[in-house]
Amino acid sequence: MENRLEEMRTHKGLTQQELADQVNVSRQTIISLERGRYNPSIILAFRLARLFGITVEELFLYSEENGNG
Amino acid sequence: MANNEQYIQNRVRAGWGLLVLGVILFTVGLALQHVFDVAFNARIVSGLGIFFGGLGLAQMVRYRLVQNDRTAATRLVNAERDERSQMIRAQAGSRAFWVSMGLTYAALMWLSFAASGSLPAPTPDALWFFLAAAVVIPFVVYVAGIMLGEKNS
Repeated sequence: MENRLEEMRTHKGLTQQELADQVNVSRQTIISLERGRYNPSIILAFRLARLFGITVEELFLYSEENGNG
Repeated sequence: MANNEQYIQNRVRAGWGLLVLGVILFTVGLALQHVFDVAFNARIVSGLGIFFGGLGLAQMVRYRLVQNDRTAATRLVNAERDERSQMIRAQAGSRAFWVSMGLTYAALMWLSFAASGSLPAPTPDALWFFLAAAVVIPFVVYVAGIMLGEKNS
């Protein structure tokens, strides 16, 4: 699933490790999320969206074509 | 943050517990072997003691190293509770489980056919090697599954 995580993170001036620390995941998970190789749980999606002050839909861009991936 | 510290403390305590259990089992194993002269090979008990002791020591060292470093402790706890890692471990565990089931079922079928004379009965050595493989192969599948999962996600 496409997302704006990297854009939002750099806009906020956070490193991948700092973002990982703030949402209680590993840095590797942030890397996988940014590359679109991992879809987060709904809890993590909300945590990330709230951290950036936006909605989940604004952060994660869902489309029917990549609904499973 | 306090939760993380509590978690680390609990892990250190569990490490101590495993270490003590290992020492007790090792001592009991030695006593059975040298003092009581039991009919079975008591090294299996002392070997279990070494295994648990090693596990406990490794756990203690791992968590004691980060006990006084709040950032390192948080990162260690985050890595252990990380949802992606848990998903990868669960998938790898599922694969290992099915491989283990397959091996056990194959052995069961072989023994059933051997009992009716349709297949040769396994020798004790063959059975030992098969059982060893039935332990090692699922473990290898589990570790490979984790490595693949980490690489692909």
